[in-house]
Amino acid sequence: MTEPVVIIGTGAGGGAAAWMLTQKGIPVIALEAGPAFEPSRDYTLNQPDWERNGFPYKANSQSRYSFGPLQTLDPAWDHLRSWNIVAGRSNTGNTRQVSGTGHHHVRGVGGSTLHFTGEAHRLMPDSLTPFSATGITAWPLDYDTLEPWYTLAESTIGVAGPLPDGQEPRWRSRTTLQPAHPFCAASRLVQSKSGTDFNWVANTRAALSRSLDGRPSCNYCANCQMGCPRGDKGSADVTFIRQAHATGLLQLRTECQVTRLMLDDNRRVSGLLYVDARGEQHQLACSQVILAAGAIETPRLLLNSPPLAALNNRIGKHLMMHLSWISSGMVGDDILTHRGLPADMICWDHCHTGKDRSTAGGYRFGVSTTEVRFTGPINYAQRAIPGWGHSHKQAMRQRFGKALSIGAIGASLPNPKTFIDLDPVRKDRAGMPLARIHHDLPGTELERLTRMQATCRKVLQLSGAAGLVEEYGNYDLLSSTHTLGTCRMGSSPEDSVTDAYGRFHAVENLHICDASLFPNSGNGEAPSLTVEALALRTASHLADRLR
Amino acid sequence: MLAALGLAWTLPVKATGNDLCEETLAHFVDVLIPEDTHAPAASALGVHRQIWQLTRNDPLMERFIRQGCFWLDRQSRGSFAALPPLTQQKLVNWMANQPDTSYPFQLFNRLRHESMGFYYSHPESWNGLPINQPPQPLGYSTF
Repeated sequence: MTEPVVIIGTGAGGGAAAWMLTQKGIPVIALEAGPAFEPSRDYTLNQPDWERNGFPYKANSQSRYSFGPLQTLDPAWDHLRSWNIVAGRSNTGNTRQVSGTGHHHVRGVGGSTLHFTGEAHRLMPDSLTPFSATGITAWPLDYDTLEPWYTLAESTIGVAGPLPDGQEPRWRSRTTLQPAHPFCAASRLVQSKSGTDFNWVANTRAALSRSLDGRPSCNYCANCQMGCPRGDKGSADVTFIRQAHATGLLQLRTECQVTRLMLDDNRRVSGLLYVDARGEQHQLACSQVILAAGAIETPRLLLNSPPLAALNNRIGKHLMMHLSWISSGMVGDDILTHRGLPADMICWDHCHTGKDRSTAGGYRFGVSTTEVRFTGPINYAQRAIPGWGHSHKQAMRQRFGKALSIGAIGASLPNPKTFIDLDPVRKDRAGMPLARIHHDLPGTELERLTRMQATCRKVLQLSGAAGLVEEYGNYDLLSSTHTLGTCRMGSSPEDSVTDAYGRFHAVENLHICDASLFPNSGNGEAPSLTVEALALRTASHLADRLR
Repeated sequence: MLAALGLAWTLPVKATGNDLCEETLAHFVDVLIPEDTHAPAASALGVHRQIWQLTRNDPLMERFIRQGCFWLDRQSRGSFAALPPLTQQKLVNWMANQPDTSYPFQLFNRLRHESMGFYYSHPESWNGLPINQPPQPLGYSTF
């Protein structure tokens, strides 16, 4: 029997790789640093204090990392500061601040797909192969190469979306999409008021509109990011991992943190060290390793493995965090913001790379009311409706359900000041240095963020919003849900870490299957489906070699 | 403004005992969220006790709340709870209109944030709002 492939991390990439290998009869040992979540028990959307609870992060379900010095805020960009009508500026200082954990993620079985909204985007063809005059690094594969793997990922996790029309550049080899979800009231309002200015279409969503593989269809509770207790959201735990488990070939070890990869004299990974939940260290011999720990922890593990780190000087470089901007205002219509599917509608009009450096990098946008959590009275009271006393209670009754948020997510172009290295001081419980995030937004990025802001405000204005109540962006607050790059794929070890199959240059039995592979960030497309497609392709290629 | 209210603003110098803190908090949260024909006042739902619970295992929060209660009582020349309701409202209004970075605004804003968070996590507070259930298990068939 084939020796097991060891997979480190069980998010979108590790989960998809485990699925492909086990489908092809290859046994897998999956080491997951975080815990497992039980959707029906752990997620608390059936409780009245669900808004306070948020996503139920557990012990060890988030990585530790540090940040390098954050940039000074320039008054010239004050229009990009985050604020809300209740509390004023979110960052009252003159230096950028980390918002929450900064790099928003889940460490656990399913990874960040547990708390993602579930947008299932294929990259635009020109995201993969941008015009060379833009200066944006091209991927070492094109859309046609990736298309069959997108198709497989969509049909496995279950994606609902629109049938492509003549304008859609992302061709499909077969119909894998379930019927698109009906638009919520907010999206219907925006479409009716701004449909002549913007081309709105149904978003492709990893949320079932029809039952699939024992999973029910969505019941439109509006809270995908809090964890889906029904299992209709296509997170990796209830799709790839569950099906891999069913083969009997997946051995899953949770709360096992890999601390070092060991390289033999033939430049093969011969084994690894990991620490279990009790703090005991183990050594595991490996014949094949897939590293899928995400764009922060993957370079960290490589940098903490000196023989591997010495083989490539691009590890940790080219970090990218998608730009994001959200503007919120109040409308006169009751748009029932506690109901419906988040991110059900999208506009791709500006999701293109551009033709030269001055126009490089696009963005996409849509209705984000539920994603920014205007789904219950707590967030309305705390963020959207100012005041206190009797008048505040009255205002709550008049204005609850009327917040409209428009959000844009845009390209992030790498720069020399944005990268991952090892913290020289801070270490984890196993004594290994933490990853340290260095992040800087140059003026070219802030100009794109300004364009994103203008678009969001225009949609709000056209939709009848009477004044803004909150704006939030990642200029003054370091906040990222899409963290990319750091071990990018390419054709040469001089400018990349892996080849087009995610294989570490010069190490035959080490592959990477996560968002660290991205050579560029696309133009704001959600990355999880691409991570899954890449992982399926890599694992299939590996399985064919091993059999 | 404080002088006009007959109150004097000074920085907190010591903490207040648990019982006094809870009493001060109870009155403060009721100024923020009073009873009306639809829904009870904040203290009737135990919001002040839930805020006090935040201080367990969080020394910084305990210090903030204790000093805040002491500050409120100090401005009240005795006890915030003993002030006439109109004067309580005037003090809260003054705090709410101070600069974002000032201590009175920060205290007001944090207590307001926590009060609203706890209050609207009780279904009794939803009377009169177009919501009557948590998101699951029913979800919504119309939207």
